[in-house]
Amino acid sequence: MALNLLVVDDSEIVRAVIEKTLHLSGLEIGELHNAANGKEAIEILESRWIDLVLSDINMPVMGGLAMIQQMQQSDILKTIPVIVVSTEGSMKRIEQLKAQGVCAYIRKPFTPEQVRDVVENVIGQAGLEPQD
Amino acid sequence: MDIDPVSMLKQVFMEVLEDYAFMFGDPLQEDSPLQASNSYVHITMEFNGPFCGRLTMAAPKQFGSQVAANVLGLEVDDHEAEKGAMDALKELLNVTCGHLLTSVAGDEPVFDLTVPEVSAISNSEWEAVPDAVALLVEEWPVFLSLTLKTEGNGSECPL
Repeated sequence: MALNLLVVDDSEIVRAVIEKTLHLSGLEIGELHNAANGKEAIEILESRWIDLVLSDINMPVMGGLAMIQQMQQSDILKTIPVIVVSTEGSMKRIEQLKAQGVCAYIRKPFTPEQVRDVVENVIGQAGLEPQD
Repeated sequence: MDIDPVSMLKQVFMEVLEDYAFMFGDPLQEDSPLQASNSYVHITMEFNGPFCGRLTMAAPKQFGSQVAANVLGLEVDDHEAEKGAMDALKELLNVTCGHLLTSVAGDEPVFDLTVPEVSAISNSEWEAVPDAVALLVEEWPVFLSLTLKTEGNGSECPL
């Protein structure tokens, strides 16, 4: 089953690098959407079926934390796994994010292998892998 | 604060530059060969936490194109690299700030970071900033300035 993914970051370059990495990772990707902030991301989440979100935290208009908190208020959106991709280094902040439902964390700057490995791990844990 | 944030800034920026854009920097010397540039980009972001302050970078826009090209795997004169120059520089500063705060304060304290913005400081105003870190990155001059606000009196404390 091909996965529908959403990449959320105010940096177009970061979005491009993550998207390129996902395409090269060998994952079966269906639709790959992107958003420049949490507000755009919520609009996409409410109109499209998304299997996994990769999101930055520090963004204009609506940051990643506010987006995650809004997702948690929806019975459907709160089931979507979220991976945070951020420059954040505080263990306390990372624990706060995980308490809000974030599945995993990738610190910038990242290697393509890090993105691939974390995404594969989250997909496996969420039961999103294709069934034989 | 036992760690000298300015020295740490130089080290952290060099590490981020290498990991993010595959580029290497050296301290800028008086006789360093420089790429000519007509315009500098000034980018600023602020942080708030156990201590507060501002991190600013000044660099030629063409340096940003090179960073974008390296990150995206393009030639520097590719339209996408030129288009992404500002974005690349903002992201470079963003990542540097995050890593600098962890290096200085450890991995426990929580900081809130603002989104990097292009600031209006002129080149002559920049030259007056004390204790700016001056680096040479592949013949591009890059300047960094870290300003900490002292707790209590709210005054800025350049390092």
